[in-house]
Amino acid sequence: MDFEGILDHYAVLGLEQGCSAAEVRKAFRAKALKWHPDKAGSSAEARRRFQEATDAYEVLGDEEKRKAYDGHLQQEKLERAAAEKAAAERARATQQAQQG
Amino acid sequence: MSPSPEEKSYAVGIDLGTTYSCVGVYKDGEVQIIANDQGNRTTLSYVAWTEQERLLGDAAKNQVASNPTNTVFDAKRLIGRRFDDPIVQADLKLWPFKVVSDGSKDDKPLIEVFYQGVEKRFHPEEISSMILTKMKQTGEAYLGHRVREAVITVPAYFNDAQRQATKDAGEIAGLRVLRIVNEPTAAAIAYGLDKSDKSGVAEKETHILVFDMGGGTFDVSVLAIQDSVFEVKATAGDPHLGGEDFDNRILSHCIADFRRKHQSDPTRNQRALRRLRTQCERAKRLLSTQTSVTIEVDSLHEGNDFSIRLSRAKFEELCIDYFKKAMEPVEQCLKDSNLPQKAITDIVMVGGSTRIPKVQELIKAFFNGKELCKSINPDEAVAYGAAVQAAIVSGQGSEDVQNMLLLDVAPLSLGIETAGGMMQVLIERNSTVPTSKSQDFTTFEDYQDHVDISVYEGERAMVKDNNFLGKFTLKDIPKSLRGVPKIQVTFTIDTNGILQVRAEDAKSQKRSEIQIANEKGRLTQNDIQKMLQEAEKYKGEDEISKGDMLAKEELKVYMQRFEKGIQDLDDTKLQREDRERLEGKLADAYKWLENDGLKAGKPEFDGKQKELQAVMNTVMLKINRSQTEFWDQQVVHHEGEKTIDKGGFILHCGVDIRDLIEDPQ
Repeated sequence: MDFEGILDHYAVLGLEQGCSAAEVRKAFRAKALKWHPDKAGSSAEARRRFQEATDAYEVLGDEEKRKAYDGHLQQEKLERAAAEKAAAERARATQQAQQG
Repeated sequence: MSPSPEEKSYAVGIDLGTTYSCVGVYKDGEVQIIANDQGNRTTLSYVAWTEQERLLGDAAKNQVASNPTNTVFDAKRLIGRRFDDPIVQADLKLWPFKVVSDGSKDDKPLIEVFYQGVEKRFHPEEISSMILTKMKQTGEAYLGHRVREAVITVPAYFNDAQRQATKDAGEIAGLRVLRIVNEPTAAAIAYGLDKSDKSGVAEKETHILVFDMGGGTFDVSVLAIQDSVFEVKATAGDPHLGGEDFDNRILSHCIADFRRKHQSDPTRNQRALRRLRTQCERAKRLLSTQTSVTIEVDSLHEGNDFSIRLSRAKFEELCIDYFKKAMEPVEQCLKDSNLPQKAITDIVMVGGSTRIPKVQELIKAFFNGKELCKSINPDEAVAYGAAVQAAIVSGQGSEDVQNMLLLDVAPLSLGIETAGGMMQVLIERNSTVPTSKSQDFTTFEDYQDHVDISVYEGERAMVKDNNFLGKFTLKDIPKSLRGVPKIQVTFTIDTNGILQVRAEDAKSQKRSEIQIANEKGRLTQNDIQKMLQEAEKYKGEDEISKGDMLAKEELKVYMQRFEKGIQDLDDTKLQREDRERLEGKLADAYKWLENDGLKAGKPEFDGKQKELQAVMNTVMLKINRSQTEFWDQQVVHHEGEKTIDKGGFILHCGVDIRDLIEDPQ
């Protein structure tokens, strides 16, 4: 839960949201080649990076989970937009009140 | 010869099979499968104890009929299991050797044998370690260097305890286990390299299904291969299904037939069972190429000969439920991989049992008549892949190999017990390893100061239906109302597929952790050390025993020459009393060999030989000091040479032979 808001699975794999399933797989394998303990050793960074990549792949590599995740991202985007809009309106209202 | 740090050491790949094992090494840019001292590229996974010595591999099986209760095999079917496991209990009835419980709460199985008149008990890990030692030695003999590191394969569907126990077996054999690799994954590497050799490295993504059915275990894996990355998508299987089960069916069929024909029951006659089983196994193999075969054993039981005709159709009828059962994991694996059937580009068949026509037919039918890939050697592919993985992990391979990567998965879901006996999964099956997953839990009652964490593996909703792995307690949680404490449980699976569990209370930062298999009847580090020393001792004993054998053989050869020498000397040269004396000594020596010789060692054999030499020398001296003809006929000996091959006379140069004369009459 802590992660989802902060770590964007697409960003971890260096992908855009609309990419194809084949692109997801290819991107994951490239990350795995770089960060798997066989290639990168067992440093804390390597472990974290590999884990992030597999976590991202677990979601984006599965059609249904990806759909749900996209929905979740969409929802967040809308909420953020709504929040920004509300904040802007509040700011405008405060401004008007001050002016008035 | 003391090993120097610079001394070259190789990492090998070992396929530790239920019935056969195989060892390979990546050297000079390619994989070599190494033949054992008998010239065989696979070695029987057998260990035997005779009156004098321990035998490993093919030599152990060769004497099985005469020594069935002290010849151990199938250790892989015991490893990492409890004695009361129903599978162990069922297998017990078929084994000629004895298996007992260690009587502890872990209920570990122990294999009991008689060696040099003493009862000895071994853990399955120790038996496996002996086979691994044999494979290690095979590698060393070929490479001319020490082998210190190895990749060992296990069935993909092996659970945590079985993996851990296999790793322990490697350590007892004095090997650093670089990695435990899943057998079908190793086979996939062999396939992948074979393919890339033929068509260049595949840029395009391909999907393959590996169907691996050996002597005792069965695995199915679906892999995606692209840009030299081998990604296991899903795996399924049955850790107790293979060729031996088919042998047992034929065996039961034969026993029933024998009972009907002779009104007598051979099932308690271990020697008869062993002889019959060997013929059943042979029949099964032949039925892969022939449509019918005769099973024959002379004087099987109570003087009755046994003979039966077995057709391929009958064999298939006897085993059809097994064959059909093998299709379930195929279906499961395909489903778990989220791939449509037509996405599978190749079906790779590995393991001896995939030679069975009916098995091929069923899987072909499952894939709507698709041709099966048989280009790789079903007996060697796993060791081949393990050797490549050993090169990858130890950094010994060429660039091609260094660019390869294996992404394997955990075969079973892992989780903990929560309120109501429910299974809360932390790591789902077919998750890529290594991986680490955390979840927060809390207390169930007010003022609860500790929590028990019980770890399970399996796919069922209730823990009672899953396999218990271990339990540990997190203590001294600050007391508060239920639901308030935050306890974070973390599961970590390493690249070997072995699990570690940690629990931490967020507030007090109290921690508790276990390497699961430690809890579940796993050998402790102490046990392993002890067994390692035992194994070293055994190795010593083997060496001594080898020396003993050699000395005995030398003595025997000498005695034959001695005998011939007496015959060759005619009465004009050899006086009657001397002849009698020599013959008397020889007869004594034969008698000694038959009695005391059974438990004698090298010093005694050498001593006996010297004794004979001395008496012969005395006589010869007496016959004619100038006569050298006799000696010249016997052996050619060089100045300063102390021993002569193949049991010739042993002459100590510069020693007056009269010194050796024991009883000047």
